Amino acid sequence: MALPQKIQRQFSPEEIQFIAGNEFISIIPNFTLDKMEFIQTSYGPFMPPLQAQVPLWLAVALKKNRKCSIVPPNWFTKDNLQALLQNEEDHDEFAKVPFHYMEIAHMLIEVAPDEIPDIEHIRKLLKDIRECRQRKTRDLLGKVDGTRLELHNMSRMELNEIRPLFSAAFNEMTKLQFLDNQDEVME
Amino acid sequence: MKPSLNQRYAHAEGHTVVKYTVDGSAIITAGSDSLIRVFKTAKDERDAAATTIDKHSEAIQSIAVHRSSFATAGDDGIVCVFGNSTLDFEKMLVRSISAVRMISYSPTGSKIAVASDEETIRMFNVNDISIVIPIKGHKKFVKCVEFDPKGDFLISSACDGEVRVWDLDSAEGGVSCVATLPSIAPSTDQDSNIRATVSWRPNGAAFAVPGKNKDVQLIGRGTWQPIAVLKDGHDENITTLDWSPNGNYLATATTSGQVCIWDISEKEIVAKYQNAIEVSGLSWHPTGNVLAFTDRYGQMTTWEDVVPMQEKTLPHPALAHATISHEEVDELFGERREPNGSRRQRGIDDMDRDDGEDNMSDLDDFVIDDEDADIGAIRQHQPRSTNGANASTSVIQQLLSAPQQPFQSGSTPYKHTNDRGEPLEGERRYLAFNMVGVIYTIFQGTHSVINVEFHDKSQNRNFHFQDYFNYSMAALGKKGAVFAVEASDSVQRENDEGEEQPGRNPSRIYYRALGGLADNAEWSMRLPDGEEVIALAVNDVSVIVATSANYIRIFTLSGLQVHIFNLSNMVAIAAAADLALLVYHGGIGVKGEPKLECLVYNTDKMETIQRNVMVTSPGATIQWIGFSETSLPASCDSNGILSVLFKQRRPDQATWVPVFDGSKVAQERGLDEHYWPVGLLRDQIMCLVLKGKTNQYPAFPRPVISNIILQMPFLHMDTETTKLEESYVRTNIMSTHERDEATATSQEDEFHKILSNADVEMDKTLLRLIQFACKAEKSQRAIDIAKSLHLSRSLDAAVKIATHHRMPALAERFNQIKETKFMSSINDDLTSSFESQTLNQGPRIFSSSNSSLSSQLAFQEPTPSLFSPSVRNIKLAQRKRDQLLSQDTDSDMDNIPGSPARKKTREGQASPIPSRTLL
Repeated sequence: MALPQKIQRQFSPEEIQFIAGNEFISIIPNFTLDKMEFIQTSYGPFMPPLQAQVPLWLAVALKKNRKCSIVPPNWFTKDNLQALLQNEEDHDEFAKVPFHYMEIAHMLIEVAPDEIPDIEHIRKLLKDIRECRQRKTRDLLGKVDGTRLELHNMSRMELNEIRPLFSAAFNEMTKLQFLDNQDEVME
Repeated sequence: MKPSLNQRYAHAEGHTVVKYTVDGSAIITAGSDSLIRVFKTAKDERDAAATTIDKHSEAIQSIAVHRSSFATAGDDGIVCVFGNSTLDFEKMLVRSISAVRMISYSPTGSKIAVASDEETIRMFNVNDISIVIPIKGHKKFVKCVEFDPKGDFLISSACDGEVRVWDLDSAEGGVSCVATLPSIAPSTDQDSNIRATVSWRPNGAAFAVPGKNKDVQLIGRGTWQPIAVLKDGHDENITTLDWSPNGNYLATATTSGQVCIWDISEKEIVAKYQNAIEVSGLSWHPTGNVLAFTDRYGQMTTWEDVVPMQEKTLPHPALAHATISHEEVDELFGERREPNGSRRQRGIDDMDRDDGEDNMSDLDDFVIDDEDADIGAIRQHQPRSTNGANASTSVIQQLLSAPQQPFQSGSTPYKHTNDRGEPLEGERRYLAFNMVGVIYTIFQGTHSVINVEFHDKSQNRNFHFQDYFNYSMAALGKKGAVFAVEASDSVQRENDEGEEQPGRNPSRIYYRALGGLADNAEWSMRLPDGEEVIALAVNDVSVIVATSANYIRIFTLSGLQVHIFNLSNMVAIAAAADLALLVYHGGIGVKGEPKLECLVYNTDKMETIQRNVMVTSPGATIQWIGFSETSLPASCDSNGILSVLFKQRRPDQATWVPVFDGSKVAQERGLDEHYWPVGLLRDQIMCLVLKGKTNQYPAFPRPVISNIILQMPFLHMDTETTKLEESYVRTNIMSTHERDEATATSQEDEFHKILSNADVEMDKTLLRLIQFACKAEKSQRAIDIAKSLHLSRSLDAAVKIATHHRMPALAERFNQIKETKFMSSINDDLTSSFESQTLNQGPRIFSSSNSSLSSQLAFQEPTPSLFSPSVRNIKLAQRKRDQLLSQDTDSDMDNIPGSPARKKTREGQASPIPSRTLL
């Protein structure tokens, strides 16, 4: 690839957002349409006021054309995010979050701010959660030891962030450890 | 049982009196120390210090309470009026030359009667004390007076034991004595502690007076003769007495300190308490089972759980009112339409205005005027009450069971209103909220803006318009929206010709068609004076309007008046296709609860399809009525039970079947929420999820509509088999209904495929049940289930299951069932047993010429928005299962049981067929 080495090693946020577009979400369409047939599968039928399950990319496209309203997922409410933040602060491990939570949240806030109650509060909570998790990630860096590293409940975006540094550091550590072992053998 | 008493010091030693305020929020006591104390009754404030009022200079003898004020009077001869809420001294009403013994408010609170140490009773107008009416007749000093709760009569007792009844509106004009009961009460002197209290039973049918022989005489209204005696209870003379708020009990107190509670129907004592010293004041709590009394030590005692209701299963002393307190009359007659939050307030305003008018009337006939105003007030409110037919004759009956107010399904009240009950500017409320769309109105002060929004914007465009009539009701159908407003006299405005239109705005109806430009039809109608719209609905062929003249008016969608018929006491209307569901009051049930009935009516053919009783869960009211997408009538009550009218088209066959229990679902989910119905699908309820108990109505912006799977309240819903049973019964109900609808609208061919699919689905469920029964070796149960199977090939499958479980006898029975069920039918693979047996032999069916199954949503199977952690997985699993099943059944059908191919596997006994086939 012609891209610089640095970029090749990780996804760009846009790419991750594209991948997150395959997550399913409920919408309430405001038009009637039979099943939408695609190569792999079909979505619909669309029968307002019934909810339909569609991938996020389709929901965003419809929403941009004012053809539907998006039903925010269950975890994406003020109360549940508050509980999540609390959980995050109380425990040393990462709390369990949807794998694509950052991307989904970003897309929803971007395209459907009118359908998210308490959006300002939610924005603040998301920021707090992210900061809390970033702090944990930094703490994790000190634990890199070249043999194994446990990263439970990390989301896609977070993994992507730490990938270049962590994998490089991990490789270096392994190399050093290998040298260390060799030294021992030499002795 | 030890009585639960709460005693506290209130006043210095001496004669002490007590009275609850009308709402029961406070106790007012007054004593010989010339002080008034007000104690709060709320639990958390009960032990707080009392508010003390010092306005009198000598001992206080009497307290009288009314809605917004109370008055006190005593030995210093002055009558003071205080505000109830602020406890502020309002005015000194009277300054009498002699000590005042007793004061009493008239029921409207506009007059006070005063008994002082004179032979003459005086009646004062509270608002203008220059208007005084002297009532002369007693020969000795008057001890006690009391107004009739209906405001017609005044009773009084004097020192010589004489009791007189005064007609306040006699034929001669003025006040005249209609009855004298000489020396019925013991004679005393004016300072005696025996108060000779005369007291009306709260329903006004009788009054009580302490008798000569330590008994209580009950005097009947009209005859003014003793009708009953309460005797053999007291050891001493009675000082005072008080009726419980509903008149079921009478509390009496004696000079020896005895307090007795009499059950009036049995004429016996149900509770007794011996106080340390003579009790001088008694007062019942207006709503609770609590009695407050004061004694000569100046102590005030509240006695909780006075009537031992649990032990002896006695009625409550205050609830189930037979009382005509004016608050209740206000509430009953004033508050007509729940969602339109302004009504109640207006009712009270009317009352106040009546009182005000009465002030202006002149001296000579103010009593008469007041009388008219009192009755007028009641009469004025009566047409608004829903139980209008016999309202004038049986006010008491109505009070026993406050009838349900008319409502529009899917409407909400304004959230914020000002003191006068009018909404604030910019306030909005839903007028209709259903599966087609939403109508809401925004109040703008001089007018409103009505918005109509559709769920499906590809078929109809949202619109809004300025509404100068402030429409208060609306209904939205697939073809049009209809609006209506009651008559009003508030605003004067110019009409089209520019003339001032004084007086009342008539009640009006406005219809607006939806859809294409060509038939952009709209029409409006005005109702004549005295007739108002109560409820309305619109379906695919007509507009149905219920009016206060007890008419049901039916218009076509083009505004043609096609029918009118009589139906009284309407509560609500819902409509779909060419059907209408009319809910109305059908009288009073055995326990005094309002009884609702319903009528399913074909508005195209003008024929009654079904007449039935509406049943709610105990104590609940109907909150929503409507039709499912397959035109099945449904209702939801305030406890969240959703029921459907099963077999609506079969003459006399319909029954209400509960299909969803909202409170149970919320409980299972562990959330404090309830479900506000919007619509109903085949197997799901469409609703708005409202969080919290107080959150009665959906707010703005418009909440998301959720769908929840129906579940009938079957027993043991935690087991797999019960779930299957429930699912089968529910599907069968819906499918039977749909088949009926298809037959009634002659569309059997069109829907044959869908309905056959439903049969297959049901058979799948039944076969799983048979499998469970076989596993548990319950062959009788398996036979019962097999009898319900719809398709002959399902019976073949049942035979296979039985064989697999090594139950040859059962397999034989299945074959027999198959023979009896399907031998006669020619094409036994396609025709279901239901069609061949039940339908053809069934009773006549009411037909419709309009399709009642045409809704796009009728046969949709959406994924439920709740209870689905991973909807997609379920879907996939379902698809796989269906594929499997179709393969299996197809191949199995070729192999008739007993054929060589089958025998092989049977002998091998290793065949996993049943479990694979059926899961």
